Amino acid sequence: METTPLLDMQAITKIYDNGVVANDNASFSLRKGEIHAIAGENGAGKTTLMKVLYGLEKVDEGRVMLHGNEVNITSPHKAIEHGIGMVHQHFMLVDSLSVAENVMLGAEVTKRGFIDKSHGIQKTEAIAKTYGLYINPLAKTQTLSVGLKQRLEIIKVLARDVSIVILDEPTAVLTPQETVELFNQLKRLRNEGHSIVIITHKLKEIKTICDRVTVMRHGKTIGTYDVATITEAEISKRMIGAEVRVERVERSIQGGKPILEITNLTRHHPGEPSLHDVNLSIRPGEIIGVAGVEGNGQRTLIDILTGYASSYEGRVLINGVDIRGRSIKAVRELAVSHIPEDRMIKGSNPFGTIGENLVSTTINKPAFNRAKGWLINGRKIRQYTQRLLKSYRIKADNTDVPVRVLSGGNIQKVVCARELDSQPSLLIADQPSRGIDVGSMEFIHRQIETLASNGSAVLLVSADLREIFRLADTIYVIYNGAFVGAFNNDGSVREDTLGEYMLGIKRQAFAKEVARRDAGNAAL
Amino acid sequence: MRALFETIVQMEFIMTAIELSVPLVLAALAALITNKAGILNIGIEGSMLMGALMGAVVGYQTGSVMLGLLAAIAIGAFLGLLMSVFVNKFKINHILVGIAFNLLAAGLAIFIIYVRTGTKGDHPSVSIPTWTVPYLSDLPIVGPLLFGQNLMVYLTVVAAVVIAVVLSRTKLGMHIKAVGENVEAAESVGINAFKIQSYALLIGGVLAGLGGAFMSMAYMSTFNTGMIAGRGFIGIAAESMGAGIVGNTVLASAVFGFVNTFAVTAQVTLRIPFELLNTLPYLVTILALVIYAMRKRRKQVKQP
Repeated sequence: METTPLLDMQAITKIYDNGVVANDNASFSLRKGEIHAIAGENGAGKTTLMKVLYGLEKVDEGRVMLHGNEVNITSPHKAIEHGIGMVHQHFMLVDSLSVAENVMLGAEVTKRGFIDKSHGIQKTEAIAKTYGLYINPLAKTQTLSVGLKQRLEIIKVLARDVSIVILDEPTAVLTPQETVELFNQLKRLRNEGHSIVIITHKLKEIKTICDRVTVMRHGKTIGTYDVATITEAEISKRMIGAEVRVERVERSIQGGKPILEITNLTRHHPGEPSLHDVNLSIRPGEIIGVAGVEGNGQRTLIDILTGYASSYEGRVLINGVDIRGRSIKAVRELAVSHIPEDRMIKGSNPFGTIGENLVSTTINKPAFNRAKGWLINGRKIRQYTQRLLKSYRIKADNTDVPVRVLSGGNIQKVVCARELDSQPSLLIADQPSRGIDVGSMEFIHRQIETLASNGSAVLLVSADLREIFRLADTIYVIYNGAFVGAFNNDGSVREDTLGEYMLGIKRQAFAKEVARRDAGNAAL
Repeated sequence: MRALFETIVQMEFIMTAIELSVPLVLAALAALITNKAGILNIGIEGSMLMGALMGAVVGYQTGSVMLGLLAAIAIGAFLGLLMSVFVNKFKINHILVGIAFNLLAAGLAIFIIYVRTGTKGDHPSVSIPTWTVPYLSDLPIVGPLLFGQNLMVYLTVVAAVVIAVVLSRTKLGMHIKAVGENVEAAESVGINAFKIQSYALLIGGVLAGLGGAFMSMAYMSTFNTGMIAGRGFIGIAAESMGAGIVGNTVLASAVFGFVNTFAVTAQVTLRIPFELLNTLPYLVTILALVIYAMRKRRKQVKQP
């Protein structure tokens, strides 16, 4: 029954220049016409293994067999020649070019020295028809939605006549509806004879669409299983070595004056999503979750609340103080903490050490200074940062390690340690667990819960519904810059319901809903 | 006022304006093609100076205009490739490389002239001829305008058209745009970014070298170490105003050429100190960039 697999990666070992062992004797084999998941936590080595296959990383040990013959893939170009294509987690598209131009990029067909534009259009249309991946070949790429951009990436790969398609976390940026659509397309591809590899850490997706799953942990492959015969819990157990608790902990919201009060907040600014008439209040101990597809005004809302954006209509009160005209620093002085969406840009200085990053917002505190603020008290800072390193379980030998060498989860822990340790009265958490491993995610979620239990107000903005369900007391859905739905997170609302609001298909008569919610809160 | 007006409408003025636009257009096209490939080439100024120098030196030495022009092209191309190696292989910031090239060119020019002539300022050169179409150039107004220009003027027009076609219709142009906008995306489909940026810098270098050669071999028939006088930078400004579109960039360069000519000719008619007039092209550059920035902002406001 066991025939020669289409692809067989044997005993792959990859050690990065900085000494990190990304793949340790990992093996992976792919059959023709299957959808195969590579599952594992962040930093487990999934992406590295696939980058080796796609010629983006050079392998230190091991070999790759294709159709039973050993191949040496040294560049993406070679990979494509061997029929292997990859859809990256971050889109590899040139925004100013048209869809057809992106499809043909690097493989343009010319006629008397000039690019044959009609050929690109025909090819795009042909692939669209064959696989049901409909797209306008003349559209400018920058005008496409995220879902369409991903579709374009898949078409791009198919245009190169590949038989193996690798997708790196394809659903990370998609709405639930777009995800369903993607899955249907992938199934169709499989039925047409393509073999598909999906890198993911979402267990539900593995169960929904994959035939087999290979689990990785710490650079090693733990095993390959038929999805039909393994449960989500078992996959999860193999991914992290232990079962994780995901259910929400009941907390009681303390009464009292709201910490954050937003009234009629509106902002229109060229080049960024607008915000229309947003009203919101958060009381001590309350976690409000804002769910929405990225680019619907979440960033604008957060920019205003944190002092990044200064021009807006309406009013924002934090602990009764109007933040209008306050600088970022002055807003922070109102005991506001902010976990930014992008830990490498706003969240941390990747080239600074862990220690420097941990005190970057508190360096002016008298406790950290000497000589009336003219000198830094290095010893005190060291004690403090060592303590944080331990209590936040940041995996690093000491605080002098530059942040950029840490894994995503550990960088996020550094950011959280800095933002949470000050016991802020308001925490603004923007995608606090995006792209990090399950263990770190759980740790950070618990920290946020603890903070709320101690009486802080938390505004959680996330595109990851699991995170919202896990933490929020009340869920608001933001669409096109306005709140279009509010739900008590009591288990009655389902993901696909939220998805419909997130996509603007449904919209509550909002004032009524708020009233109902406030009435509900009053009853608490 | 009248004198001013009469100055501008004179045929001689227009002819000079066209001539003085040539080096600016070439510099701007050089900036455009390298910019499209993702490199802001500050070194255009230095490449022009070296082009002017090599054109004059080789042209004068051999007595051949052709060899002089080829030398200018060669040095421009060489500097372009050298820049690509510094940026891509040694990973040095392209702005720093550009500044270094400009300083090197300025020093080297004086050195070479001193070695050859014993002076530090000038070097004799040869002249690129004017190309006159028989009979047609005798037509009033359009005659000299279209059929009686210096050979370099025609070459510049051809260069602009070629660049426009390369960028919009060829594989190379497509790859240049892709590399400039998203290197990772380009490389992920097998495009060699080093190669593409090298081509762009090579083409840019050739254009800059030609622009320099025009100064020492057509506009004047002598080389002077100060003769480029910021034209490379004005070209970069023109490119930025033209927003990377070939036609607009040529137009913006021509505006600067016009102002430059005005500064030169008004010295005679207006009795304004020529030092003051000489600042005009630079003032207009700043003014133009301010207007450009304001327009851009207004445009953004209009489309929410």
